[in-house]
Amino acid sequence: MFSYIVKRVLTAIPILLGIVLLIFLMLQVVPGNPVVVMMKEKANPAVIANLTERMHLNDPWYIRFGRYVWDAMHGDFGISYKMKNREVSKMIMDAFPNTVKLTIAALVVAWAIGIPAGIISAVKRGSILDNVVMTFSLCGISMPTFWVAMLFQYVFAHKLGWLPVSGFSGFQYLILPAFVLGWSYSGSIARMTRTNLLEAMHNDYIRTARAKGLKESSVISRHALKNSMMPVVTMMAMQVAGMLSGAVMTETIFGIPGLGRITVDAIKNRDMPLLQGSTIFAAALIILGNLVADIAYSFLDPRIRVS
Amino acid sequence: MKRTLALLLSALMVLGALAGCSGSGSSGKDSLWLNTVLTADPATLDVQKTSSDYDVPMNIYDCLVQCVTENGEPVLKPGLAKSWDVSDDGLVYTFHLQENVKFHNGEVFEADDVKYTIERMMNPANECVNTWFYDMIDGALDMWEGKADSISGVTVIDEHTVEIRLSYAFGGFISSLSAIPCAIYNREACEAAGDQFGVDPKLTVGTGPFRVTEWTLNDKIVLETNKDYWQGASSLAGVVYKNIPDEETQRMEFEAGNVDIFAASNAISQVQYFLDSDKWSDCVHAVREAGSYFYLPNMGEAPYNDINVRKAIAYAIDKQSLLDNIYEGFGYVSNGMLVEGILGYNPDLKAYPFDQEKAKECLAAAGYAPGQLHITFMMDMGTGTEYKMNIAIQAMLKEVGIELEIQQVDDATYYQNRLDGTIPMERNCFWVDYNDPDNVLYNFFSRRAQDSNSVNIEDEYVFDTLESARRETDQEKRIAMYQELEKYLVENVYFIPIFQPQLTVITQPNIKNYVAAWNGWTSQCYYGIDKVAE
Repeated sequence: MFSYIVKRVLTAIPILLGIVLLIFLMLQVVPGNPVVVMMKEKANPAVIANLTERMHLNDPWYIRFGRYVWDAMHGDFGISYKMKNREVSKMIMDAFPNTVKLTIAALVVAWAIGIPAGIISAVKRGSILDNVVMTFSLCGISMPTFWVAMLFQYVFAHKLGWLPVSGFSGFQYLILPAFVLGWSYSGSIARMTRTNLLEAMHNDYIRTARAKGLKESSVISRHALKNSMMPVVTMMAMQVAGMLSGAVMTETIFGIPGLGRITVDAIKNRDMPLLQGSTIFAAALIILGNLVADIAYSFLDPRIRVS
Repeated sequence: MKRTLALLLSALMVLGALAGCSGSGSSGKDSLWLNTVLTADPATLDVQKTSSDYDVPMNIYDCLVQCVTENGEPVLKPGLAKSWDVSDDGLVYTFHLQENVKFHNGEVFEADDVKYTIERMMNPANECVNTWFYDMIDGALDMWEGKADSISGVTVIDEHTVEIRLSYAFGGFISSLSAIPCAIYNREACEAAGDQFGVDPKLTVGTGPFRVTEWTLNDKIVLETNKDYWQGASSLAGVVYKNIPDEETQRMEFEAGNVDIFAASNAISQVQYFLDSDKWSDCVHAVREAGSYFYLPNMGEAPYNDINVRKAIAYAIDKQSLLDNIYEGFGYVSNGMLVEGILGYNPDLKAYPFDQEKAKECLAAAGYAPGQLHITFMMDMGTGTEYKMNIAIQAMLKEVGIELEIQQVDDATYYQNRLDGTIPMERNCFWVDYNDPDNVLYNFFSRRAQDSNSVNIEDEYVFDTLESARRETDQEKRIAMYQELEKYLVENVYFIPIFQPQLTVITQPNIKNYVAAWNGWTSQCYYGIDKVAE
């Protein structure tokens, strides 16, 4: 068990390094001297030459990459180009807790809706309830997040006044964004749960359990559900990782100061250090998410533990 | 049973964690906080290092001279300098400073702070961008070029007197000192803060009516009232700048009462809605912006170096139509760059009017058959008003036989082209930092400016006039020189004026004493505004 975890962690490290290199190289290909963009109309050749030197932008790419990785290992992801004199690592760590709060809230909504919806659909397969639930899930998956966000904001905040329009100063500010994101994520969870539960219900051991005289609800919850949850758990882990890297649209529309906002602003402003930092952070989270899913697998399925 | 209990407890824990995410500082519960918006965070609150993020600086710093708006007109008044004397040759300015003024950190304001502020701007190590405000001071350029480590032209006479000697008599000097980049800093605070001045609220210090106490990126900036403000404390508890990037959200927040001042310039189409509403029809403040939109041809490149081509383009543009269709008519067609509200405005100046026949004649005179001339406008990747204007002009030019290609490039390419002087033609705009014609024209047409823009003129008459007008001490003569020059620039189509926009600001009914700034900026000082409890 322990060696399994250690092996998985060790394979994650070169993957992360490879991603850092890839992101770094891609951003070097982008044309233009970032100093010129930073200074805009106030650019004058002397200051530009000075700054370019000071920021080591004239060094060859492998030297800059080496310096970047070395600094990153010490927690230094550079200074933002746009936000003067701010450390990228601090900007990311200040924004991250806000994204965490949004993620927790959204996932509570997504899973609280998705899993029961999937179970009900599977158990009442073919009924009207099944169709309604699946349509609801389909809508959640298909409707673009930004559209749902604007719709909810307009209806529930602006017209009905039940909830705040935007901002992040308390619990009630999380409700709308959580439902926007939650609805979209719940759709996939519901479908996945339904499919896997149906498949599990066709197994022989289910017939045996029923034959033994167990209540139907016990059959489903104690036998079928546990065996069907693995793919769902994988999906849940990936959802956590995905949401933690920042829900760009939702955060922008609802004014939540999270990672998504940071990333989008970095792109708009050609803020390379910040873009590199937030992309690498997101990549690391996804790798971590994968790792957690794999480890969770080994707990859920004893067969993996042993191998 | 145990499992349900466990589930319930975990749910409660999650809810508890979420409940803990209440924000600190104001949330609008105290009705004396003024709530306003920013569409993006400023790069820094250090106003020497930014040429556009002026909102917060205008509320936390003061300058030696103030420019206040009275009846819509700009009036220069004493600021941190209570009076000043100017020598007869216009070279020596002696400022007598206000006494008993304290910075937000408790330090007393004195003449040394003025010297420090100016030297800080001109110190190349600080990489400030607004150095052109002080470069006419004797010795300032030496410091900027690294030849000196202090400025010989600034002398501290005593604690409350400072003398500034210019290397040439600049008629707009006093006016320029009222611009916010000339905010006065405290030596002790800046030296202690190092590069975190303007970044860390605790270290960012000025003498202004408000003090910055909190800055959460992408969320808000909170200013608290300075109780010891030298002109008397504001009646507000403070100002909250909410970071709301989306205009629709800004408007919804305004209608919900969470924002007190809403500048409709980003959302001009919504102005009519407010004019028609019961609640806000009396709270719509309109003011001419002290600036305008115009087109700048690259005079160093063909075909723009041919005056007939430029005239053809000028005659082909229907400015009123652009104003009505893109700006809902909220503005005034302009005939020059010194538009109404800027010192030097010439009501008799007439630019080339919309006349398609004359456009076709000029095109023929330039030697092009209809459809033969291809020109290019360069712009960034936006799809806002500049894009719409360019598209409209493309259609207008086609009607007179000129083919226009609109080249949209990313920021890096755009700014590099600008630096290299290779932008073919573009829409540009300018809003005055201070009320002086030099501020507008020098920026584009002086010899020095040719290094960093794509205007590329080589006209000694223009260069010499701009330098002489700067140095002219007789104000009437100065204005006449600028008007003469502007007429020349318009007649020779060195630029094509389009229109001067109008700023519309909507306030909540319980906001009193709101005055839209004379220059039509959305960035303004909120000192003097009152908010009454509803």
